[in-house]
Formats: sequence, structure tokens, C-alpha cells
Amino acid sequence: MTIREERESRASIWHELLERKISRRAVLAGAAAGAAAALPLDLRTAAAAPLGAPRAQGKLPFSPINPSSADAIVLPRGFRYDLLAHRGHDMGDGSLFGDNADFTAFFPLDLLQKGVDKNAVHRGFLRSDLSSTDGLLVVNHEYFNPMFLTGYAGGPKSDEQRAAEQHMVGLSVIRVKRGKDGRWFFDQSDAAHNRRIDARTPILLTGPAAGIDGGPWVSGTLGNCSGGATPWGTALSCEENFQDYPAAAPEGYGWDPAVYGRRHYGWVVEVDPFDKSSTPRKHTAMGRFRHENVAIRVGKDGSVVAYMGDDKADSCVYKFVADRKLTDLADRPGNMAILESGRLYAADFGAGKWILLDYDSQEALRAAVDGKGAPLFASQADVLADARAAALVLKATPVDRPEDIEVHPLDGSVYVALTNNTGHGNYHGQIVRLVEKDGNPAAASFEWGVFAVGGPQSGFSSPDNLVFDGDGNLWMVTDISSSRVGKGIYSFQGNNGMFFFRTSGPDAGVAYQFLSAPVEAELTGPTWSPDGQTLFLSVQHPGEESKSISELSSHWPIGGREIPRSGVIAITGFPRKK
Amino acid sequence: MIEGLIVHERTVLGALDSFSGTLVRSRPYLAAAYGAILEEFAARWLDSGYPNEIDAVSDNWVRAFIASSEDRQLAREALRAFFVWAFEQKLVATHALTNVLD
Repeated sequence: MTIREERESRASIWHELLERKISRRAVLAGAAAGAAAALPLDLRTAAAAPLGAPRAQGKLPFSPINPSSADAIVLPRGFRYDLLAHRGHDMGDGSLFGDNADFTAFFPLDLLQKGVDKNAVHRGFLRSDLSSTDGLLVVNHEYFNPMFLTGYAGGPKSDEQRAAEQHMVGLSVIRVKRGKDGRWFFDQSDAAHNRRIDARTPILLTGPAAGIDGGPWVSGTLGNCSGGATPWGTALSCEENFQDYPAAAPEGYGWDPAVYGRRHYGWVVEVDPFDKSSTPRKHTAMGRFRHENVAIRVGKDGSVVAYMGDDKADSCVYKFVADRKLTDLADRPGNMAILESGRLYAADFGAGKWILLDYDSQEALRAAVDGKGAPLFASQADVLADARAAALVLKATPVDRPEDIEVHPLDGSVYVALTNNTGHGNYHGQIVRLVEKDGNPAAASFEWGVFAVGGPQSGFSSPDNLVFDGDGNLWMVTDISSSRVGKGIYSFQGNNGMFFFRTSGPDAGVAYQFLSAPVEAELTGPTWSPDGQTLFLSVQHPGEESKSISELSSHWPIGGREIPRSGVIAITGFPRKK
Repeated sequence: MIEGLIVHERTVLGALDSFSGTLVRSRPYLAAAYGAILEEFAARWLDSGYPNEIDAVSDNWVRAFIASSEDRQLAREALRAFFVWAFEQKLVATHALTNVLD
């Protein structure tokens, strides 16, 4: 079989599987709805919603909005937002809030005193009685706009330009409070907590590949996309498009390849938001690829499992099972070592199995060679450092750009957003749902089905970040690229937006729009406060495709003729539970 | 060998998607102008019945597309940037296309 023939045979794997699932669902929905109800996966929800406005089954927590192309945050009546911080915001110590805010995680200030709830996956393991008015917000910064930042418009970069860029990625930890007037604000005076971690902050590698390319000490973190929270009160930040940084300008960012070209980027970074002097750590046991996010689930026996997606078309879904169990919630220092060792798996959707990426036990990894006959891997460190190649060697299933993965708080099923894959003709993406065998997160096998399919019939395209609420409803933000949003086949949606889905009942899988983003912006990092009354959200890259400083396509958030700024907001107005 | 099995970026549309992602991060001010030309390039290639495979694109076809473009200079710049990137990503095997664009 030639490379092209093999490529074509693999190209069809994911789409054949999808078609099989959807065909099966169509049969079940039409002729045997009762049988369908008995399935562990409610495949009926894969049915395309009827064209036109969806009809809600029961009362929604908001009145859905229509698609919008306004350069504004559009919310349903009764909701409002407060801007907490934007690119270049003074952190109070001379450092600046970074660009293109992405993941957010809220850590109530009383968390260390009161503890966590290891079952509250939708709240980042926060107890419901923790403070919902005072805490630390961890915010990722994925990349930056060189023109907005330094006026860069091609050609060589100065050292000053590169230094400014290196400060704009990484993470921010900011103290946020809700005042008596109900408005949220960033308290810049909290020097004990407000912190920037950027591309020059010393960071430690842990695990089997800690010594790779001169490790364990590495220079900073970059490409910080989404992330996750742990049940011991730390934040996980995922490094995604690390390949852009060492590439020569203007095609890449033109950062020193001797530093930023090492295999020190593309990992999951753990940060303790409560200790400003703590050293962030990159956990190599969790693999290196274009990490989108990480969703942790704790099994009944204390097993700690992390689900992760490789945000690139034709890439895989991963699961990490830690060696150590979570048995003592009070042992925070000990628990912070849990992600340093474990087993990494990739999903085979054809067989419904998790494939172990292990150099010692997998003959195919030891035998794998490149096009010139040289071994692809010489150790487990090599396997972890190129987990994507290892997964493909072992015939894990390449899927249509796996982005966010989240765990359902009521049934433990795992939702995966597959944004799109235009090369396969999948323009609008879908959300799929996995159920582990016997509900055990550390299981070796799973079942899966389609939860929702993007397109004009469902009102949304290109699903990305996800978050559940306490009732098991799914909230999703979309990622239609700036060059396509609002145009052609994507025009039905207007700007990018945020959508609400019930996950059970007659309208499960039907999308209701909650929010519309400013021009060319993408919404990211949805996170709830413990009481469910505030939703934190990032507004990334408004006006991203502006041709010049004098030809701006957005002016959000300041308006007038201002340069657009990415930022993070707090949305309030959610109905109180009775 | 493994990279050869990656389907998405070896299609014309998939390669354009990945290139657009890189461009919008590193040179966002060019993304709209280049994107419009490259979208048209891909649409005309596929509408002509050619395969959705980036390594099937011929230098003659690229030359003809540029010649028929309203803004030839911009079309040349956009296609050059795209094919230089594709060559660096090992998606096309030769400099043939970039030679056409010099």
C-alpha cells in the first residue's frame, strides 16, 4: 500500500464511524425510540434540530438571543457584564495583563481554609459554600497580536519588540471581587496574589521526560490555550501552538530557536494560584502535543484521570491515569505531585478502547522508524515528547480537531468538542460523548455517540470550549475562524457566540444562543463561581484581522476609535435557585 | 512516515486552514487580504474538478491563476507565502511553485 493509499484509508476512519453512529441513531429515532431510551448513550440527541428557531422544552434560564454581527457583547435581557481586565492592564506592580485571554479558573479566597469538593467537576472542584464574591482568577494568554502590541508590520524584530511579546503570553493571576453594587472588579492592590507568569519565568519539568533537551529547568510558558482545575486547588494551563514561536519572522514570531525550539513547550503546566513564590511545573507524564485543555475526574477509588485533546485536525483524544490516588484531600502538598507520574492513553474510537502509549510494552513503538529508517523513539521520554506520532503508530483514531473536553457532573460521561475539519468536508463540527465502561474513569474501554452536530440546522458552528452547570446543562462557545465568521456558509450564525444545551429530555442537543461576541472575537474559558451566579469568560482577539492601526475592524471594549483589546469579563444575572 | 498519514493538511482546504491559523497569529494584518485570495484560489481549483490534494497543484495552474487575478501583485504575494509555508511543512515536495512565484 502506498503512503497515499494508506492515508486515504485512514482518512475515512473517523467519518465512517460518525456515519455509522448517525445512521444508527436515525433508525432508532424513527422505529424504536423505546429501545433507544435504554441505551447508555442517548443517540437520539444526534438528530439534527429542525430548521428555524428551536422550541424549548420547559423554562430556560434565559431568553435566547438572535445571531448578531454587532461589535459588542450581546446578552439576553436581564444579564450584564463587567470588564475585569484587558490586554496591557496594569497588574499593580508594573507588569501587564497579557494578550488574548483564554482559559479562566476561579479560586475562592477561602478555598484553602474550607477545602474542595472532588465531585464538583463543573465548578472546578469548588464547594458550593465557598466565596462567590472574592477570589483569584487564573487567566491564560494564548498568543498576541504583534501589530496591536508594538506596531509590528513585517520585517526584522527588535529585542524590545520580542521582550514585549514574551510578556504577553503565559498566565495572569488576578484578585477579583464583587462589590456591594453587584459589580465585579480587579483589585490591583493585592500585591500578595496578583502575578504574571510569562515566557521567561523559570519553570520546572517533572516526570519521565524532565531531562529532555537540557531540562528540567525551562524558560517560561507560551501558547497557553485552555486548561483545567484540579481537586487540590491548583490550575492547569495547556500549551498549544508552540511551533509558531521559534520560526523565523515574519512567518513565525522569530524568538530564539535555541531556547524556544527545544521540546520544553507543548506540555501541561500546573500553577498554585495561592502561592506567588511557587514554581510552576510542566508535567511530562501527560504527554506533549498541541494541548487544548485538560478535564480531571476522580474515580470512586480515588483514581485521578485527565482527559485531553490535541487541537489539530486529524489528531487524537488522550487520557492520563495517574499512578497515585487521591485519598487525602487535606494533603495538598502531596496531591500536587499526583500528575507527575502515570499512564498515557489515546482513544481508538473504532474499537472503543484506550491504547497505552508505553515504550516498554508496545513493540510497535520500539519498531517505528521515520522515512529514512531511523527509530522514531528511543525511550518513554521520546514517546511522551511526541505523543501524537506515538498515538498514530499505535493506530489511535485521528478525529476532527479535538478541542475542549469536559466531564458531565451528574453521570460522569465525557463530552468532546470536535471543532471542524475542512479537509474532510466537516465544516461545522460536532460534539461527541464518551461513556467509560462501568462508569470507571480508569477503564480500558468506552462507548461513544454523537451529542450535537453543527450547521445551519442546529444554529451553531465549530464548537470549542465547554462548561457544565450544576443541573447538567452544557454551555458551549464557538470558534469559527476570523476569516470566515459571518461569511458564506457561516453567515447563519453571525459572530461567534455562546450556546446552551440540555443534555437530557426531549430537547437534549438543541442549541439556544446565550451570547454573541464582538467582531472577529472568539469567546473562551467559561467558568462558574461556586454559587452559579457569575460566569467568567474571556473575549479573545476582537478585530483580529484589522489591516492596520488606522483600519480597525473592532473597537471592543472601549469603543470610539480605540484599538481593540482582548480581555476577561464577569457575566451576572443568572436566576437564583429556589 | 507518520506525518505522511496526516490527511487534513495535505488537502488544499486543510492546508489553507492551517496556514490561515499560522498567519492570523503571526501576521494578522495580512490575514484578510491573503485569505480572500487563497479562498478564491482553492475554490477555483476545486470547481475545475481537480483533486483536493495540495501536492497535485501544478505550476502552470498557479501561473494562470495569478495572470487572471485583479491584483496580480497581491495574488503572487499571498500564494508565495502559502507555498513557502507548505514547503516548510513538507506538504509540497519541491520549490517548483515558489520558482513560479519569484
